[in-house]
Amino acid sequence: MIPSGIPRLDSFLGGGIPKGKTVMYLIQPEVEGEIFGMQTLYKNLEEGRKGVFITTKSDPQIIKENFEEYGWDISKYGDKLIFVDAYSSLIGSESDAQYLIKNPNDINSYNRIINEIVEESETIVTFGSLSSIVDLCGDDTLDHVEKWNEMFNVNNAIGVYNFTNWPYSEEIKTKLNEIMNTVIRVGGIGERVILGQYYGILKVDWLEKAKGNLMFKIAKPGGVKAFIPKVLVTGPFNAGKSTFVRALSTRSVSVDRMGTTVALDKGHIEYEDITADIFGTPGQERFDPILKCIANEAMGVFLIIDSTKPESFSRAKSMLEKTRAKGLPSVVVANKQDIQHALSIEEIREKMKLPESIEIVPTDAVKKKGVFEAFEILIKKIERSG
Amino acid sequence: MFHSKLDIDIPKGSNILLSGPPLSGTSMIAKHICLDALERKEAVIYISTKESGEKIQKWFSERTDIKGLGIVDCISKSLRLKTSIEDSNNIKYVSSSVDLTGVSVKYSGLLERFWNIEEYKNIRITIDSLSTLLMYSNVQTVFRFLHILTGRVKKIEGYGIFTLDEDSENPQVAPIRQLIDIITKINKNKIIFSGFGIKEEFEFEIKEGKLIVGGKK
Repeated sequence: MIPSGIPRLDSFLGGGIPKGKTVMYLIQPEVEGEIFGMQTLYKNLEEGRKGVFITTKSDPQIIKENFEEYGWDISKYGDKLIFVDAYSSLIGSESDAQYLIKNPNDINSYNRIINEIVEESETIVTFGSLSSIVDLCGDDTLDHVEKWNEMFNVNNAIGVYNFTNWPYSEEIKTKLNEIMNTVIRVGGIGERVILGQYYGILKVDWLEKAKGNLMFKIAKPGGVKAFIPKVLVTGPFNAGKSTFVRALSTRSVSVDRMGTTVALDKGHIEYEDITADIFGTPGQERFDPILKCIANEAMGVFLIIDSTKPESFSRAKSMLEKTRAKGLPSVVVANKQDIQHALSIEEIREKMKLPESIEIVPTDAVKKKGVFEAFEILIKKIERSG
Repeated sequence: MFHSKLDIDIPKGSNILLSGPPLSGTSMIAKHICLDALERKEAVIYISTKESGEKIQKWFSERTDIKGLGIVDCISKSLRLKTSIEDSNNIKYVSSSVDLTGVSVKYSGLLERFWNIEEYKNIRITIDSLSTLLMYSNVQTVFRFLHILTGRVKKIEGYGIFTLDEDSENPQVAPIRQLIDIITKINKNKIIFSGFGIKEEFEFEIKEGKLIVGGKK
């Protein structure tokens, strides 16, 4: 298996991309998706593999600069990265690329070069934009791509394709889906303008069932980062919600009066390849309308309970039920586990009558113990729920 | 309102082609139409394939407040007009005029900003010019790109304005005409609008950098 380099994608693919397989990022127009192919290539260069980048829309120098925008210096990989320039001839300019496609409008001129390259085994062959090759060479391009994919398979190479999903004919769409081992959709969310971006699994032919959706943001530098726009933190009064939000957050604010949250906490999390915005609600019942209101667009919920206060569990359970009724993925966080008479996870589960399907994670939010474990578990649940 | 001085009622969500022989002033008309919109606190996304983003920005900033102006520059990177090219708040750069995916990503980003963050509800998207795009990509490719863009213009109920430095009757551009609601022909000192049951003719001149529109004919 080789890594895709895209946050969380490898776990959706069952560990990564098996050698000899092809991956296509099917990108909705207007969505910044071509970075997916670039990121897969870069990750593998970092791990010492060889790569090829076929460019059809600008010369190799500009492609290098595009990589640099994300903080990726590809010049240091020297001979390990080969450029195939299918752009310069198109506009009649000079090229010093190692491989030059002399006639980018003729699919046969790609054939020769791709044959030659693939003899080097375990190469990551990245197509900056397959859709633009289809635009240049016409509909029978995909028959050739099918043959390239067979060659990749025989030689243990990996084919990585970016494809902008312009309104092509149904034949092209069907054929594309047939000839690729994996298809990942990269799309936009929003009715009138695109307000958010996500990727999701459309096809993985080496897995029985593959599922997974995730929103993302593009960071410069950094590239694709998973993005959870709204995670809710709820729970009874004084359970440690604000402390939990602060423990997870790289930056946070809370509206307090006398040490108690009266409006809401807001934090921003950057953890490994994930970014998330997290909102804490005040615990008193008179603030329940706030809970209802912000639970509306939440993607997941933490219910924080004070492990030393079983008398608050029924209140906690009713809060959990409110959010579970909306079908939101949720995790119970058993806080204050550091205090001596704290109940154990088993005791809490029994007292709250929680089924095994609801995870209870022990934490000590003050010392940041267990908080990221709880975050990981919730993220996994969110990913599976999409 | 499409334009404060042109007495013509073009429905929101329309896509308008400004066509005319080379040097007939299609670009200048497009700029003045956008200038008029900026002066009325509307937003303009200007996709330029002929002049650098900085030049376009300068032209507008000399005439009005450019807070609502976003530019997609398709030439500076490929012509290496500057050594270090990075997106600024107003100007976004695309690798080349071939990179229509890049153009769509950049205008979409500006659109999100104007629409969502700055709450502009009247936005126009201009391409100056389609002729350059057609030089680098075949007409089907440009058609697919415009299909998405003109659809977006309808969704936001804005205006799409596209210049073409040739006669719109040219059979080569026939597929593109299907995506256009109103065709404007510019010839000498006349602008003729047709489409949507509209058939209007105006006289115009550009005097001391200003667009002067005469009465309807």
